[in-house]
Amino acid sequence: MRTGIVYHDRYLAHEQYPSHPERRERLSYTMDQLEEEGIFEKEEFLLITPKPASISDILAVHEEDYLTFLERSSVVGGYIDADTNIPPGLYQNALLSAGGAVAAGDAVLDKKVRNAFAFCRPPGHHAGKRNGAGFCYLNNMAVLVQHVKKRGLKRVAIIDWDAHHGNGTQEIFYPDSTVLFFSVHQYPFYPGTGGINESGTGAGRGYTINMPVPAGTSDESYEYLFTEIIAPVIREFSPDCVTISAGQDAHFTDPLISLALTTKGYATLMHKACALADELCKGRLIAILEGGYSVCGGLPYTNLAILACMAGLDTSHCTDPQAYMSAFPDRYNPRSFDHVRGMTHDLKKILSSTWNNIR
Amino acid sequence: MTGNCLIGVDIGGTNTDIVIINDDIHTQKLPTVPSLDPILSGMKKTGRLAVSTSCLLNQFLIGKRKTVACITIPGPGLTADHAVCGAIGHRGDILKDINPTEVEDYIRTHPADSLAVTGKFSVRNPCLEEKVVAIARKYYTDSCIAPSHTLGYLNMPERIRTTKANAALKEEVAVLIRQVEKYHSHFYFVSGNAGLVSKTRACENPLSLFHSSPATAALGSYYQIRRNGLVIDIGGSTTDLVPIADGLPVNGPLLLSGKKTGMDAVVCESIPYGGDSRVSPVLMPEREGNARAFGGKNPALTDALNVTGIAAIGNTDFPGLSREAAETALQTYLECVCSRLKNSIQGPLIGAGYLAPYLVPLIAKESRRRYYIPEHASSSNAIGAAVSRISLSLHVHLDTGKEILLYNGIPQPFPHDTDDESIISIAKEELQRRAAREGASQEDCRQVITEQFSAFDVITYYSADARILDCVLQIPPGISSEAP
Ligand SMILES: [Zn+2]
Repeated sequence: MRTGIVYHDRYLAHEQYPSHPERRERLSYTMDQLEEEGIFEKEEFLLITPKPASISDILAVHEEDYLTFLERSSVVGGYIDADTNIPPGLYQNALLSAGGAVAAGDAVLDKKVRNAFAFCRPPGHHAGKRNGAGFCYLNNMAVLVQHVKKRGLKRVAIIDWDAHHGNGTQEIFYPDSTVLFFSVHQYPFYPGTGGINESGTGAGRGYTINMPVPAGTSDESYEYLFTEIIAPVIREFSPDCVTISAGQDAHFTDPLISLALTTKGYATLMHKACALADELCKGRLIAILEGGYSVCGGLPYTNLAILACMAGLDTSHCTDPQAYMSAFPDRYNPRSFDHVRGMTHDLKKILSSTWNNIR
Repeated sequence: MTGNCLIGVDIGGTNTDIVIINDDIHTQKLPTVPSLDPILSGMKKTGRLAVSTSCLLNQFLIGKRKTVACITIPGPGLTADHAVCGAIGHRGDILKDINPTEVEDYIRTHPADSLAVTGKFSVRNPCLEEKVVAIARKYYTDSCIAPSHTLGYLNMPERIRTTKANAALKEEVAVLIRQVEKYHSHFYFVSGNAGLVSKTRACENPLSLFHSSPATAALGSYYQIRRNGLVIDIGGSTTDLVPIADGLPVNGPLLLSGKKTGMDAVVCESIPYGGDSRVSPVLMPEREGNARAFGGKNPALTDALNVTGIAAIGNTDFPGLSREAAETALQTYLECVCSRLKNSIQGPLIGAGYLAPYLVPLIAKESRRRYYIPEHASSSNAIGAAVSRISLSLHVHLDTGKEILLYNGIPQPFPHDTDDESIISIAKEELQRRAAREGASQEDCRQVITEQFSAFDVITYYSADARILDCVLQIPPGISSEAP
C-alpha cells in the first residue's frame, strides 16, 4: 500500500509577518525537493488534498471561546504572544492545517494508504485547549487523535520529536490513558516545560513521557531513547495507530535550536517508528509536520528522507550534503550522550510503576 | 498574405501529404519512401515550410532502437541508476563537484550509440551536466549527447526519461534536417502540441515532436471548418481521436510507455486499426504493407470497404475477401471506435485522413453524433502543419540572493531591476524576441500566457535578503496570422 502526502497550495499562504521564521519557504524548498525527486509521480505515493477541519473536530479539542476568539481576530488581525500573532485570514488557514491532519488520518483508516505525512502549516503542538502559543493556533495532532478515536480507534501513541516540548498536546491528553504521549526535546528551552516528572495525572499517570535532552544531542542519543523507552512502552501500550509530531528543528543546521540530529538520524527514527507500526498496528502511522526552520539547510533533505522511509524506498543516499557537515562539529556535544543516559535512568524509575516493560 | 505561401508536409507511415496554401489549398499525396528526395525535389522552393512526422517516433517505439548510455548525478536524496558523484542544491549551489576520472571511466566502460546526462537540480545550475558533456565529447558527437537542463522543469525522473529518448532520437532528427535542408534551408517542425519549433529546438528536444501528426490533423481540421469537436484521424495503421476545444487541440501530459515526460502534447487516443490493418480472416491490429487496393499482398480494412460497396478505392478487382468477412471486419472496427467515443468529449465528429469520408459517416450513425468531413480531410494533417504558428515556452528562475537568472536552465546576465513585474516583463520580451528570431510574425508573437507563477522572499535573521521567482511563459500554439 502507498504513502499519503497531504498538501495544499494554501499551506504556503499563512504568514504572520514577512520575516517570521515560521514562513512559507519552510515548505517551498521541501516541495522543490519532492518535485525534483519525482515523488508525486511515484506509484509509492498518493497526493491527498485536504479540506478544512470540521468545527466539531476542532471542538473535540479546543474550547469554543478560544475558537471564537481566533475567528474574530482573523478578520483584522490579533495577538497571542510575542512569537504568535494572528494575521488576517489565519482562521481559515488554521482550519485547513488541522484538516490536513484529519485527511491523513482518514486516508489511513480508509485503507487508501498505509501511512501518511501531512505537510500542514501553521503547526500545532504548542496550542492548548484554550490558547495558541509558539507559532501554533490549533493543535493539529490533538484534532487528529480525537478524530481517529471518534472513528473507533481505542489507543493512540504520539511520538513528538520536534525539538521543542509539545506542551499543548501534553496538556490536552494529560489525564488520558488512551493516548500515550512521548516528547523528546531540548531542555531547558522554550516553552520551559517537559521535565521527566511531568508524567500525566489521574488515569493518565505514566502516559505522558518526557525525554528532555541537552543542547548538542545527536543521533546516538535519539536511537538510545527509542530502544530504551519508546519501543518497550509502545509495545506494552499496543496502540491502534502510531502518530508522529514531526518537527525537523532538531537538525544540526536549524537556526532556532541547538540540537544535532542528522538527516540519517531522522531516517533511522522514522524507520524504527514504521517498524513498530508494522509490528503493532498493521503499519498505521500518521506524521504531521510541526517545526523545522532550516529552510536553506537540512529541512528539504530530512523531509524527503522521512517520506522515503515511510514508503520503503532506498534511503541509503538520504544524507546531508557533505558541504553542510562542516557545521556539525560546532553543534555536536559529545558529552550529551552521558547526560541522556543519566536522564533515562531517572525516567525509568518513574515509568516502572506504570510499565512492566520498563525495569 | 504577402505572396509567400505556406507549405505543410506530413510524413506518415504509408503516405506523405504535401499541402501548399496561398489563396487556395493545393494538396498532393505521395507514397512514403525511405528517402525524402523524390518528394522534396519536386516541391516549390519558396514559402514557409513546416514538417510533421510520426515516423521518427514510430521508429523509436517499434523499430530497432539506438543504444543509449545514461549518466545521472543524483547527489543526496533518492538515488538513481547510473549515478556518478556530484551534487547541486535546490538554489543552484554546487554541493559537490563531479570527479572527471569517474565520469570518463564510466563513459569508456559503457559504450553506446548515444549518451543521456541528467543531474539533480541541473535546471537550477547546469554546470555539472555541462562538465560531463564536455568530457563526453571525446567519445560522442554533439548530436549524440543529450543533457537535461534545457528542459527547464523540476522532476529528475521525468527528465531522465525524456533525456534518454532525446539521446536516442537526436541523430535521427539531425539526419532528417540534413535531408530537408538540401531543398529548403529554412523550415520548421511541428511539435506535439501543434506549435511550430525551429530546427535547433527540435534537435535539442526531439521528443517534443511526438504526436505531431495527430496534433496537425486536429489543427488542420479546425482551420478548415472552425468547429470544436472530436477529430477522428484515420491513418494506415491507427485511428487517432483528438479533441478540439476553444479552437485548439486539447493538451495533456505527454506519456512515454505510460509514464510522464514533463512535457505536454495533444491528448490523443490511438486505436490500433487503420486502412492497412490486415483482415485475415478477422480485423487484426497490425499492418503488413499496403492494402490490396494499393498493390499489397494482404486484404485490409480498405479492401473491406471496397467489397461492401461503401467505397471504390484504388484497385477493387482482387480484394481477396468474402463479403461476409468484409462486413464482419467493418463491424469490428466500428464497434471498437464507438466504444472509445463513449468517454470522449461531446460535440460533432470531424473526419481526417483519406478513409474519413467513408468511415466517419458510419461511426457517426452508430454513435448518433453529428459529423463533418472537411473538403481536404485527407490532407488535414499537412494543412495543420502549414497554418500552425511558432510556439515556445520559457521556464524562468530568478534567485536574487545568488544573483541567478535562468531561462530554460541556462544562465542569463543578471538584470538590474528584479521586482516581479520587471522580471516577467523582460522574460516576456525575451520570449517574443526568440520567437521573432525564429521567424514569427509580430502578430503571432503578441499573445504570451503565464502558465505557472510562484515567488517568495528568502528570510535570513528576520529580514528579507533575497527573492526567488519561478514562472513559465508561453507563446501558445494556434493558427498563424499568416494563414489566409
Ligand atoms: Zn519546534
